[in-house]
Amino acid sequence: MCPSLRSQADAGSATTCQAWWRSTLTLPRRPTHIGVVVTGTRGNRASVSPRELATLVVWCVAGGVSFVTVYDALGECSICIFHDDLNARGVTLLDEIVRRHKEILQADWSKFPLEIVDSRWKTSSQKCEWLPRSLHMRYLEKLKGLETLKHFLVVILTSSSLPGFPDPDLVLRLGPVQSTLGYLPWHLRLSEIIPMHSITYSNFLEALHTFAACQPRFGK
Amino acid sequence: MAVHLRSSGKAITMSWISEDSSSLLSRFCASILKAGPMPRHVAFIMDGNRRFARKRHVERHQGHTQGFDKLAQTLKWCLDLNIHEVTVYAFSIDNFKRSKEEVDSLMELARNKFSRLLEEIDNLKKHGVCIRVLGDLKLLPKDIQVLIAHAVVATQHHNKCFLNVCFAYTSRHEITNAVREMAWGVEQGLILPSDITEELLGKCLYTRHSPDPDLLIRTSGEVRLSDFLLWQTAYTCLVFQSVLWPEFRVWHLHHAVLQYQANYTAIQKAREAQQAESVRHEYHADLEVLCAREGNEDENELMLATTAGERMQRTQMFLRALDRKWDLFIEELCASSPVTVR
Repeated sequence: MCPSLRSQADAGSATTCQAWWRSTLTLPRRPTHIGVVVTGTRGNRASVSPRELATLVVWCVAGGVSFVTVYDALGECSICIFHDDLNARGVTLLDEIVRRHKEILQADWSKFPLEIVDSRWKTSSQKCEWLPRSLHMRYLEKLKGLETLKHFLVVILTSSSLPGFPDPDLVLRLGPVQSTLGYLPWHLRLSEIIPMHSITYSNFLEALHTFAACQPRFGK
Repeated sequence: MAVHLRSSGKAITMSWISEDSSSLLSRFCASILKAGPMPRHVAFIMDGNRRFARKRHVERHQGHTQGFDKLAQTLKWCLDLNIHEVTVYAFSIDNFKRSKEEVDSLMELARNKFSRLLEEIDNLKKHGVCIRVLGDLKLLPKDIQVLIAHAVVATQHHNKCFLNVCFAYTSRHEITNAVREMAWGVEQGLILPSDITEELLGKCLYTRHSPDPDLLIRTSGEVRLSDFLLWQTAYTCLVFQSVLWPEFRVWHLHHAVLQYQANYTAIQKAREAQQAESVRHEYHADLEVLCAREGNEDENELMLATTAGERMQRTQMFLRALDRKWDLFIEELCASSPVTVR
């Protein structure tokens, strides 16, 4: 990736919006569904913040990704999604996504509408008008015991994936642990598992480029 | 159809595990590694044979043959590291989509290697090697099914090290099969629907006699699991290396083990949390059964323990029934074509 594009993207320059969107359009292969697996953080930081996750989600939107699942593998993010489960600061992931959506995409934000569906199968109160390029997002809390099994049995017996979601093409592994720690085992069949050491746009673009270079053979 | 094996009367060099001695340096490094936590079970996706063949300008089947030789070497290195269980992805159900020529050459390689294994049975006994073949064997040519059955029976009581060969295998096929077996168990009255847990599903997989892999290594630079052990590797350290499988060296294995050691504490913690959750779920399932039976919600410890004991008894009988089904399948294959040594 062009070094100057990398530094501009990381600096959060507003003028890079069009530039990095164009750079992803030229990739021969782009993911439809990105799974974000949070396995912890490096250094002394306690967890990934809602703002960082929201930023990553918005980059996915700008990169043409239609589906995002976020999996808090260690249950340490303590992220609240909706206003009915407020954390102490009263900031929800949804609030942050809406905020960052407008901050990052600026004049283009209405071209990328959001529809957020959580793991309780409810749609958000911020439902936007349906347009072909909208984003579907699901936040997966640590799937537990019978919940996981019921989830699998539904998948296997109905031969369907996450309802309405294709299998993840790309899994971004955030954090130092080299494992998926229980993220959607059934759906991981052909997912490219790529580490992302920190949430910066250059790391995100690099992951997209690595994904584009992978050549699935489907057994052939 | 009878299976005939040749016997030259001479001592036979092992083909499935290399008997070459390891270098002093690699043995020294192995002893350092063994001071830390070590994986008990390593899984390999042996990818890159065809790219290796293209690189060396040889035929594809030679790439696969060299890949098998590398497996034999790797098993020796694993034994040097006291890794006593290895699972390898030898042939996926999806690989049947390859050209007929390539599929036929892979089947011929399997024929040669399983026949050779039966000729080396004394050496395998000496090393205590138990061979298991995991997959939907009915998809394979009948003569290969028979050879596999004989190999499995001949080594089934060996218990020093275990080689699981995934052949005609995909993880989704395995999981679906496990769910069907549980449905069969309920239908036969062997288990109750409330007995179905994550742990029971794990015990219905082809890998039920093995612990989950601690470390998975995929060579050739690909970074996906390709439908291999999806359920079993939820808490496995995943190492993706760019080396092509026939060029895999002991240092690549040592490097992967180092990565396992670096991730050990975090993965153990996550695995223990998941196991605790499983135990909590079993407790609540037993409580529900007890409440439904007694008509009240009192958590009587003694009655809960009895309910749990009854559940464990049912599931043990069910799992023994599954083992008997498999044993019968293997016995019928062996009976259909006895092995003779000329």
